[in-house]
Amino acid sequence: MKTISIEPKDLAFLVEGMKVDHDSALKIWKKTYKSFSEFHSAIIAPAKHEQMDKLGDYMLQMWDSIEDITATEAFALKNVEMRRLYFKAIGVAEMFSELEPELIHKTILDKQGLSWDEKDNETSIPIVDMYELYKIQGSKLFPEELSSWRQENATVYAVRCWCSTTKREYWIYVPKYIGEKGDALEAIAWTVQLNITNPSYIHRQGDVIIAKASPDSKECTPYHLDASQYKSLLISAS
Amino acid sequence: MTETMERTSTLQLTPGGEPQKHIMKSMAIFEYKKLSEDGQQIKLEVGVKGAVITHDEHAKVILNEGVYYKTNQMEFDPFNNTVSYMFD
Repeated sequence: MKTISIEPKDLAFLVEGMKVDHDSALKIWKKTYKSFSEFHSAIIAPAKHEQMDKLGDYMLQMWDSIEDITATEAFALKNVEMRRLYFKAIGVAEMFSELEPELIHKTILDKQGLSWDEKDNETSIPIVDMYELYKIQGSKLFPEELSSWRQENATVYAVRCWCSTTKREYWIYVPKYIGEKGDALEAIAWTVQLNITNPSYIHRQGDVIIAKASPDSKECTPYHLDASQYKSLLISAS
Repeated sequence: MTETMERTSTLQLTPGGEPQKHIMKSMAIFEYKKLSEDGQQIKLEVGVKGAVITHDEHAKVILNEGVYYKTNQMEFDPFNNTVSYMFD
């Protein structure tokens, strides 16, 4: 491995447009991008600049020694904007597993759906998906905010769901106005955004959504589904 | 006005990423058009031979003849108030 000649501690680091110190930048990048290759693809390669290539070489040297960020460490940060960056880097799954969120609503979508066998024959199977809506109070994340409005505005909501094939758990942040509806099905429905009117049905394969157009469908401005649309349109989930 | 559609028999439905994920294949040519620059929104026109979408971790999906619109699930970022596509 070659040794690079820049002094990274003397550089100004910008993360999400915010100037941060050397140690914080490295920790945020390592937490955000789970591998050096992911970091390189997202930050270094698109820049196509010699100095960024040097930064990439430096990060490669440092990667394994960069310390992990914890939610506890994020809470200890006095700078609110820096704490926001740390929260974002930590990610929704770790945030909600570490911070004892409040369960707002839990529901099970139970309907008949479709699947296909090895010979591509269509079969009818039950879709049984559980969804949970959680929130973390803004007063817990940003206790120093003085006004109750600002504290309430910082409250975050996330829907927890499980892949029906892999059983892997997913957490997805949803906007406050959706979380405030207090309905987990509304929350998961919001994550689906279509750009045609009058769809016949939708398939979901992981995070990919396929909507079948009906004869009178027209392309339109993208819109998020509501709970009743999600429930009626979803015919396969894997 | 007639739309300009691309033609293929194999298409990766998610931009970048690993090549084994969300692959759409058909025994016949099907048509598609990317509706967004990031490639996340795609219009798909499937012929009578149909098409199959496979993924290494998820069950397959069969598409019969018809017009489909592919997109990705969305997620919110509460720390900068933005909405973006999810990737698994």
